[in-house]
This record gives sequence, structure tokens and C-alpha cells, in this order.
Amino acid sequence: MDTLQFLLDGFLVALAPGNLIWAAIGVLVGTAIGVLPGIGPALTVALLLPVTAGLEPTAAFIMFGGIYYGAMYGGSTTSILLNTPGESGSIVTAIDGHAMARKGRGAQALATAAIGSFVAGTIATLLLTFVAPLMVRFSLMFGPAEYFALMVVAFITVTAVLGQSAVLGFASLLSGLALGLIGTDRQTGVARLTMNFPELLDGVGVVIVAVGLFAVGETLFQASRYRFQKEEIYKIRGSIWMSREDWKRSWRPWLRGTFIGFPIGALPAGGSEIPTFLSYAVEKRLSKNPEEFGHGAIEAVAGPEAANNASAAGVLAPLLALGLPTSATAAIMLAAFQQYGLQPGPMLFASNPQLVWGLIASLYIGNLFLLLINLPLAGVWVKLLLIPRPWLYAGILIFATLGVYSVNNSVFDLALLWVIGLAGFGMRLLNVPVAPCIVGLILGPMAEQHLRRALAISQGDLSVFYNPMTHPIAVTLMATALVALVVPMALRFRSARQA
Amino acid sequence: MQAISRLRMGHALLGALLLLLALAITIETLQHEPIQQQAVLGPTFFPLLISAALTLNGVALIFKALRGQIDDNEWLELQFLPVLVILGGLTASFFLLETAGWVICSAITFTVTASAFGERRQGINVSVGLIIGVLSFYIFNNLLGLSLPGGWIIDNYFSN
Repeated sequence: MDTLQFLLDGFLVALAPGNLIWAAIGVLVGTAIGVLPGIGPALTVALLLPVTAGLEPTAAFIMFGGIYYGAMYGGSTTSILLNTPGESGSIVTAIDGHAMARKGRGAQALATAAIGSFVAGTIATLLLTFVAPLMVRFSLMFGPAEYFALMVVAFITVTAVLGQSAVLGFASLLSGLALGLIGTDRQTGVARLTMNFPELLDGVGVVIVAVGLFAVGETLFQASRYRFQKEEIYKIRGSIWMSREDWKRSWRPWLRGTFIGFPIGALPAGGSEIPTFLSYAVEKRLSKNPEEFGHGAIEAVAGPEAANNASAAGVLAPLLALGLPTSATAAIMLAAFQQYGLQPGPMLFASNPQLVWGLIASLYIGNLFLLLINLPLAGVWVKLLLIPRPWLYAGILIFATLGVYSVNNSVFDLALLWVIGLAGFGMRLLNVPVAPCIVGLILGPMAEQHLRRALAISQGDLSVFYNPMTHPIAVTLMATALVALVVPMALRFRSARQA
Repeated sequence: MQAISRLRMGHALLGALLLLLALAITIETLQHEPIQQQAVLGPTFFPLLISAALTLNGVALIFKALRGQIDDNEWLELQFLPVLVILGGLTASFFLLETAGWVICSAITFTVTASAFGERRQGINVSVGLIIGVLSFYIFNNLLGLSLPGGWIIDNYFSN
């Protein structure tokens, strides 16, 4: 088996002492930052991106992988003990997790979340190991038309499925696409929408937009709300171990969550929200006592947490194999690849196997680290929740400034950060989702290149997108995008009429 | 009642902003000289496409807002003063960054933000801000090779 050989080589890379240390740093930083309310994995990677510019790419990505997984673990702690989910994937965990914490079973909720994340993370990484090479093989059949169609699918699924309102989702996506237009056109060298600022010739950096929307926007939102909110942290009391009964009720939800989460993450089907909701619904239906759901059912923590982590691993498959990000975090990881002059996709597996397989192998190791540091040390991470909110958000702004300034050492970028932060505040007020904007910003220019190339090859013949005889894959993808656009709208319309 | 109109106003405003953005993109794009090239699609096609989509979306947002198809209960209670204070603090620190230096600016950002969040013990705010500034300056410049600006204090008294 080729894949096993590659994976073995990957373990040799990941187990090199230097890289092992970066993986450990990654999971520690990721967990710590994931625990902090208001900071999710996307922002963490965005802030650390400029800081790691001096690192060798393999080491940097091994660290990013650790941060990504670590932030997923840390996020569940916040939702269980504080009921403030740090990212959309742990909204569901917060419902029953927090109910368990109120009943004094916070430790068991944390344990089933951590072990479930480990089980799901490990199985999903295993699936990633074998699915990614298959995707690579499949993508060799792709030309520009197919890539463009694939990106359209990603745009639609990130936008139309997520969130309550399709109009708001598209407002976010289109703003991201518009931001992506700024800069020099890659084919003709024409400067577009630069408003005569030389700083804009290279375009607007993903880091600035991500940090502006997530860090500055979120801080401004919290500042406008802090008077009206009160938080209660529930301490961990009593036995910290899961009982035999808890194990019995947890293991099936872990496995079901894994197999719900991974495919939805791997197919560009829109982030980690959907699998967690789906897993919750499945567990409630299968449960003997569905009335417990909402009042601290352990299945409702075990399943969604597993689904969340499995989809996090699933998202890496299209990112590595096709260069296609399907979540905000993945979009920023793609920016990280570009920072090193690398383009994920089939070529990367051929030209840089060390990096790809080292990263995948390090995910197994990171998962093990995470289980070890989360079970016994849960109490230590909880202490991070005690940081006073004023200082927490003040600190976030300092690091936001640091991260953005360090990209180009430019005060112009900071002015841009200010504007985007204000826009992020407005988006937060109106409940406009942020992920479509970031995915649009990074995928927009790529989609444009593929579209232009596809039509240059076909000499302007648009049938590459609708003739199933000549371009079956592109047409299937376009049809998928159409379905993904129309079905949620129809469902929404129907439920609006019934109401 | 007031809350309902606020959220609707927000949606209408967002719609108007999208329309403005669409207009700006169109005007800017049409200013480019058409370039002689073999490619089927030039650099103006995609901007015009996005601008058309923005127009549609903006109209849809305004239409929905005027028809009142918006959930009224989603608007939250807000205070805008802290937001303005933080934005003011950021503006000051961004402008001062390359003269006063990283440490001073961190302290400004930290103190202003913490007070906007209701932490009034300014002495402690300033000290914590300074400590974070000094630590991050040292760690990121010396260990991770970034070049955060030292500013006149460090440049004049601490550099060798």
C-alpha cells in the first residue's frame, strides 16, 4: 500500500524531536486559546500566521494542525462550563453540556467531550489518511471548468446552508468576493479597485480580514453588550470520572457522531454546524429517554462533540487534496500555504509529500497529546475562564494589532483592520455570518482564474458548464450547487408559509 | 416597537451599502481601457458579475426590510459608547505606533479597552498593559524575529 508507506514516512517527519515540540506547542496554545471565550480556531491560526513566517513550513503546519485540533477541544470546555460557545460547532454541546454542569456533572461532560473528541479525531484522521489520496486521484481528472464548478459548490454550501437567512449569507459572500477583487489582476496586470493606494496592489490579506472580523468585530460587540450579560462559571465538583453508566451511554454516540461528522466535513457541505445539529437530532431520536435532552443528557454532549471533531478532520481532506477550503479556519490555513508559496492540491502531494504526510501523521500524535492534557488537566484550563473579561478583550486587541502589523510592518494595514473591525461589528449586530466572507475572499480570485481559463480553452463556449456529454463532472457539480441553493430556500419558504 | 424598526433599518442600511459597493465597483471597472487580448474574458468581467450580484442582493435586503419579513425579537440591547471609546483608543495607538513604539501603544490599547469594558482601576490597567507590551516586544522581536517598532524610548535609551 502506497498510502501506508507515505504515512509511515509522515510519522518519521512528525516524530522528529523538533516537530514533536511544535506539535506540543500547537496543542497547548490551541487548547488554551480555544478555552478563552470569544476566540475560535480561525482567529487563532490567523493571529499566529504572521508570527510563524520565520518557521520552516513543515514545522509551521504541524503546529497549525495542533492548534486546529486543540482549539476544537478547548471550545467544548467553554460551552460546557460557561454556556458561551467559542465557535459555531459547539453551540449544540452547550445545550446539554451546560445543563450537566448546572447539575454538578460538569466533569463528566468534559470527560465525554474529550474522550469523544479523541475517538472521533483518531477515526476521522484515519479516514482522512485514505480519503485524501483518493480525492487527489479523482482531482487529476479536473480541468479549469471542473475547478470553477467545485468552487461554486463551495460558495453555495458555505452560504446557503449556514445561518438563518440566505440574503445575509450572500451579502457576506459577495462582500468577500468584492474584497478579493482588489489588487493586480493576475492575468493582465491591471490594477483593480486599488483606489490608488500602492498598499492595495497585492490585495487585501486574509489575515487582516479574519482578525478584523473575528477579533476586533467580536470585541466591539462584546463591549456593546457587557452591561447586559452576566456569566456564571460552574465549578467542577465531586467525582471527576465517568461512571460505567456514562461510558455505556457515550460510546455509541461517539461513533455515530464520527460517521456523521467526517463526510459532511469532507464533502464541501458547509462547516461543523450541520453535523453537530444532525448528531443531536439522531441521538434524541434513538434515545430511550428523549425527555432528558435539553436537561443534561450525556449522549447530547458525546455525539455532537464527536461530530464536531470528525468534521474538523474531514475539512482537511478537500483542503489538502483539492486546495478547497470549506470553513473559515480552512480558508486561513489555505492562506498559510500561500504564505509559503505552496498551493494545496494534487501537486502538493507529489512535490511536498514530507509536509502533507508529516502534517497528517502529526494529527494522530496531536490527538493523543490532547487526550493526555485534557483529561487530567481540565481543572487547569478552567482557570483560564477566570481572566477578567475587560483584560481578556484588551489583550485580544493587542494581539490582533501585533498579528496584523507584522504581516507587512505597515500602519496602512492597521487602518484597514480598523475599518474591517467596524464592519465586523455591524455584521455581528445584524447576525450576518462571517465564514462566507472569508471563504469568498480567498476562493474568489481562484474561481475567477479558473473561469477565465476554462472559457479561454473552450474559446468562449459556455457549454462546458451545462453539456453533460463533454464535461460530466463540471455539470454534476453545477447541478449540485443549484440543488444546494434551491432546496434550503424552498424549505425556508415552506416553513414560513406554514407559520 | 423601537427594536423592530432598528433591525429593519439595519437590514435596509446593509442593502444600501451593498448597492453603493456595486456602484463603486462598476464605475471603477468601466474606467479601465479595454485591453487587446486573446482571452475570452478580460479583467472586467468578474467585477461586473459581482457588482450585478451585489445589486440584486442589496435590492432583496431592502425589499425584505420594507416588507417587514424580519424576526423582531433578535435585536439586542446595546451601548454604543464603549464601542466608540475602543475605536478611539485603536486610532490613537495606530497613529502613534511608529513614533511612540509598540510598548506604549499596547498600554494605550489595553487601558482604553479595559476601561471601555468597565474596569476602572486605571493604575492596574496601565501596568498590565505595559507588562504585556514589554513581554510581547521582547518575545516576538528577539525570539521569533518580528520587527515591532521600538519607538523613541527604546531606540534612545535601550538600543546598543
